[in-house]
Amino acid sequence: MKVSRLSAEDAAQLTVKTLGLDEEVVDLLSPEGLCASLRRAASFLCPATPRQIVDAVLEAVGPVAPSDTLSRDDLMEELDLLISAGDLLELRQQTTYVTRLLFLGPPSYVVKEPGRYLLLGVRPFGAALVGEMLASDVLYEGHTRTIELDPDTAGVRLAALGLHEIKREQWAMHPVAVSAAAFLDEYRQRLDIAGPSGQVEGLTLIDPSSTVRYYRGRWRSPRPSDTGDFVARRPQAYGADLWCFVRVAEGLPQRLVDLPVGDATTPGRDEAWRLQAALDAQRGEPQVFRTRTAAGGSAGNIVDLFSPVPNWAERYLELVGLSVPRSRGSLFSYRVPTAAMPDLTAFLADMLWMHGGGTE
Amino acid sequence: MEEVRQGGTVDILEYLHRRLDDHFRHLHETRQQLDPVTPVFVLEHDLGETELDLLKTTVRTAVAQGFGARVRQWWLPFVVYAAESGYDYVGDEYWLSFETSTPSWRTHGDRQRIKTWFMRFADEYGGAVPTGAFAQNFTIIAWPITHAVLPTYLQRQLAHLLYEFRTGLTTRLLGSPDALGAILASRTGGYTERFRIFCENATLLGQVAAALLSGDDEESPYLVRSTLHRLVEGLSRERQSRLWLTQAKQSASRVRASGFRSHSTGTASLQRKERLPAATDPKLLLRYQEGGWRAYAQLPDLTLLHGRLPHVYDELRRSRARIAGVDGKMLATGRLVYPGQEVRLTSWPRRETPFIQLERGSAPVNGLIADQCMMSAGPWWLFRQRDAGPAMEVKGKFARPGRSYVLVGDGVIEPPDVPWLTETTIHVDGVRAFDLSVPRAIGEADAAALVATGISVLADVAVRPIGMVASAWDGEGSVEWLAGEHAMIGLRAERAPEKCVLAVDGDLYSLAWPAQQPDLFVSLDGLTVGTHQVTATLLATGDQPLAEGSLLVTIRDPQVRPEGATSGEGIRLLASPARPSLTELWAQSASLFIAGPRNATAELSVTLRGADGEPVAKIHRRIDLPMNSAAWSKFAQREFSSADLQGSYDEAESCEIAVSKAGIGFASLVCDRGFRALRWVLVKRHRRRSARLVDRTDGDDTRIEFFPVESPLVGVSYEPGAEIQAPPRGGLLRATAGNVEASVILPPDPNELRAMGSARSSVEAAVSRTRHELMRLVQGHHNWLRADLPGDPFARYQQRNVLNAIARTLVSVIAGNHWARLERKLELGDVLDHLDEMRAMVGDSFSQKALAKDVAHHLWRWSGSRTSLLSGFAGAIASTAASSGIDDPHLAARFLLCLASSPGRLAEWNPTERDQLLDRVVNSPVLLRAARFVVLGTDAYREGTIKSSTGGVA
Repeated sequence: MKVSRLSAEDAAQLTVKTLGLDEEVVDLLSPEGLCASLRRAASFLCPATPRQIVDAVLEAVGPVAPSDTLSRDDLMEELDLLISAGDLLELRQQTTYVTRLLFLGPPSYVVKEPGRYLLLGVRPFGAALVGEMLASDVLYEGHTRTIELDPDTAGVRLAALGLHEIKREQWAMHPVAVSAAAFLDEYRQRLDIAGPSGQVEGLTLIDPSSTVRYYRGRWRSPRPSDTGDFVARRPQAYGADLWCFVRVAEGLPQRLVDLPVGDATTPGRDEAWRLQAALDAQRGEPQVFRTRTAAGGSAGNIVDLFSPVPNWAERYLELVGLSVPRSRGSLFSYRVPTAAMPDLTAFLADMLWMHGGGTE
Repeated sequence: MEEVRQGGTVDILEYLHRRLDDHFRHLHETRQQLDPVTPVFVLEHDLGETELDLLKTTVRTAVAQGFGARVRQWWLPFVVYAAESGYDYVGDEYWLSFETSTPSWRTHGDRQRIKTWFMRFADEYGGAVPTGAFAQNFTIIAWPITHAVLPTYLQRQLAHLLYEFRTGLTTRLLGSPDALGAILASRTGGYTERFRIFCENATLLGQVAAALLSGDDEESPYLVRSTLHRLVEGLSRERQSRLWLTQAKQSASRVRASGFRSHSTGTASLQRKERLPAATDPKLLLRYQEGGWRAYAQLPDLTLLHGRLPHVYDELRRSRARIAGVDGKMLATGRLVYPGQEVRLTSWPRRETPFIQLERGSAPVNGLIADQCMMSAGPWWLFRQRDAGPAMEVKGKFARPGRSYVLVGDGVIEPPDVPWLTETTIHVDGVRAFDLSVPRAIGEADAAALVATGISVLADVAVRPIGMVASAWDGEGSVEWLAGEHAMIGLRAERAPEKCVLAVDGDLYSLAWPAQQPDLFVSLDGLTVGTHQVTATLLATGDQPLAEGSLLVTIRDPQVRPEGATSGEGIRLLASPARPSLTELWAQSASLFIAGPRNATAELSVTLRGADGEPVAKIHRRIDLPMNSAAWSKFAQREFSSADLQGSYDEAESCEIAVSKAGIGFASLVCDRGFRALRWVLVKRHRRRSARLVDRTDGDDTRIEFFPVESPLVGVSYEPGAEIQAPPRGGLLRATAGNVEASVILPPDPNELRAMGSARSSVEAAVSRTRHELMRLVQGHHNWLRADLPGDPFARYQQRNVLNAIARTLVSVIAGNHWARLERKLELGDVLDHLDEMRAMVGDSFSQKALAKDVAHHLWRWSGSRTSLLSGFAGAIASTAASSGIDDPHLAARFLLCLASSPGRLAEWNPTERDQLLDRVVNSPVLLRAARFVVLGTDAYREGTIKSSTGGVA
């Protein structure tokens, strides 16, 4: 048995290495490092609440991070991205109570283009997603993992590792395009016939009057001046926060619909975020994305988003672009080939009623 | 085949024998130098391809020429030939393939002589001696198969096993084949039965594994290079196996390079009186629900115990389990094989009572579980409250200032006298709970009060895992990492010390504290699997102690994802019993449960595979999730009898159930027929069924009997090897060899049966109620009950008729003439028409009438639940049973209900207990009449034959 004294940097580097990343390239506090830590925590803790997974990482990584460089919110955002990509799933579990918990996404891959594969899922008990032979070929970009393989043998090699293929169209399957008004009508009709909600402990909602460029700042508790329909969350003792659409009168909840109302295997926040996009669009303040030319010119455009988007929109972005470190002020960013920009712009406008908030 | 002349045959055999003798003698001497001495395997003959071909040709010629004494004196080539046959063995009939490849063996061969030669090889050359259950049952073929080292058909599974365990390798294991074999054998629970049988010889397994994991250019001391290359080549023929082996070898190579070795202390060297927590201990937690705390236990992965006792896995997979503190409800059969189960505790478990016990588990297995799966010692248990999630038990019983805990303790002892403790509600019998909000500053008196209850207060130093998220961490004093990982811990001091003395299992390490820093980070590398106590003492200048903290570090072997998935995955497949055989699956004596998101659909496929692993039938269906066992049962009933699957069942060796939904999860279950020394294969030609016996035994004393449906206890003998035509009404075919047996129900021909009309099964029984005669009927019932069912619904129908006939006869013999007449009426009529009559015939005395009335009153209620039937009937017969000499009414109820409904099951009871109970019941037949009334009455209700009125029965 060997006992070694470590500096905080040593410990961080050793952690990165043990997580299967290149400690020369990746920092433990980078999105890649944090996502690897979150995946590892999930592999042992799931089924678990997002809070449990984030706490486990915070507790382990926090002591070796320089002070004030790691926040719970940062980790929660990275965790959301892992859920969006399909590394983790938010599913309903019915035991004594109905709760929504995070589960491990199955080891899978999506063909981004022949020879380039997006890797998804987390194996239990801390096992690596791909074996040691391919581990060095995995490219980590933000919360995503891709691998480049000979397209003639890639399917067989990935299947031999126990990875299942998810077809592109299935992975990024999205709902039909409707107008914001029609989309809201459907949910408002559900609210119309919902029973009285009574007092809802710990309810927080998205302030519709706040700026669509700062998502984290939009959340607050209800106020007496609040009247209308809101996207909201309510905490559970032993599960993920429940997303809901709530009708409020003078700050008091009247009726409430739990989300999702559609496919039980989709997270409630997918419907919630699309609802918020519809609410913002209807009040004339649609959510925005920003486009700017990527450094080097030939690398296409950088698209910055300021609000979270449903899984299916995130996955569309994964397919047409590449996750890159987020730009200042944005929630996440993608590098998108110029040729793909018209389709992407139309997609975001049709599905989430967004408009390009200018270029830089 | 090239013919070799007689003289030439002897000469060549002599040449080969002498060459082999030199080689094996030298190998034996080399192996004797090893510590421990390792055996020589015949497959290590080191002959080149040409020489081996010559050997095979010569042996075949020698056999064809009469296998005379002149050739037999040069015996080593024959032994090599037999081992080579073992290497090519694919789990089918060894002697059949031996005879096929060796013309005239049937005429001139001598199986016993082969065994004698292998034994001589063991004596003269230090050859391996077969061990394990396989060797005990198959005293001849165990020799050539053992000396084949690793038959080709098992190679893939060994590669997989090595791959799965690659992160648990250490230099100690790589240098100790016995230890490596034992630990690998302990992880074979999820593998096929044939592979598990191979792994029972842990020494052989360890040697093969150590050799396979040796470096590419290294000599292995355990296998000669040519044999090792041959195995590696065999493994590399398939892409997946090659990949697994390569990765396992890379891990082994890294371990050797880094010297991941620890003094092998583990927990043993600590010599502590107090038991340290183990990875197989349950984890207790509390959740605040409905105005109070509820207690839960997360059950551990007990398959890890397989290494301690080989049959642990089999008992775990086939048994229900009683969990201490869980009222009434047993854990379903086989669930302990699936880690991640959580149970709610309604009463607080007592530490002196085993936490988990298998229902009817063997004493050694239950003893092992009791020893290895314990909750922490009381009388107080501490749970840390967190902002999110449940309150987890702090096994180290450390409390920290500024944190909140729940303190749970025996209901009668007084809690610590501290002002920051308030009683709270706990929905668990036998304990009280207290909210413990430890203030940031604790006075000495308060700290002493806590210490008096066994709770330590750690104020000045925190010891916790850092950097990489640990595989488990209770938030206070107990952490778990996987073997091979860096155990990184951080120490935080309130007051800056000069240095820190770290004690790891008693070994001391002195570390200077970083100047001006509140934290010291340390990596502990190479800790062995087990639990280790790490204590940190912080010292000020002059070695003045400042503070002390400690941490329990558990290092566990890497866990393997079960094919049915884990509780953390979106889709999970659970079977009861766990990992059922193909026969159990098909007979629906195994049930499946598929967990998954409610209201979602998934793809379910059922694939039957032949002996070569190729699919012989496959179906795809869309199912709704989750699929409970009732829905599975309906699915199996419908699909297994479908033309797609039924026609291929008999030729199938395994069945894979796979369920998947893209992006959500996938799980699978492979059910194989297992290694069966005797197996019936049914063939259908021109609408006629026939049966052929696959005999994998040594084959000298196999007996075959056929029991026709018309007289199900009278057997007709057949010659082994004969193909047996099924008579129109079908029957039971039974083959026995030593203590091995195989039975199958031969299905009737429905067309001929229709033309012939139905026939009663006639069970001849002696008039006397001797135990011998009764056990003959019990055994007959057992034979029909345990026989394999082919994929034919008519076979099941005939089996049921015969079982009913035997049970009826047995009851009639014991219960008396009047009841026997009633049984005849019941056979032809409707049970419902005779309920009053049954009640009247239970007995004449006042107490017997009262018993019958009590039973009649409860038939409806008891028909709804087996648990209520057992407990209710036990209560009803308590006084009658006691007056008949049976003091335990629950035991009496179980025995009587079994005797009255399915007497064959009594063949599996403890013989002493069974015989005593049977004698009592024969002397007091009222008990059996009451039981039969209960069985027939509740069956009638259950089948829904009584629609509404129950007035006539009461």
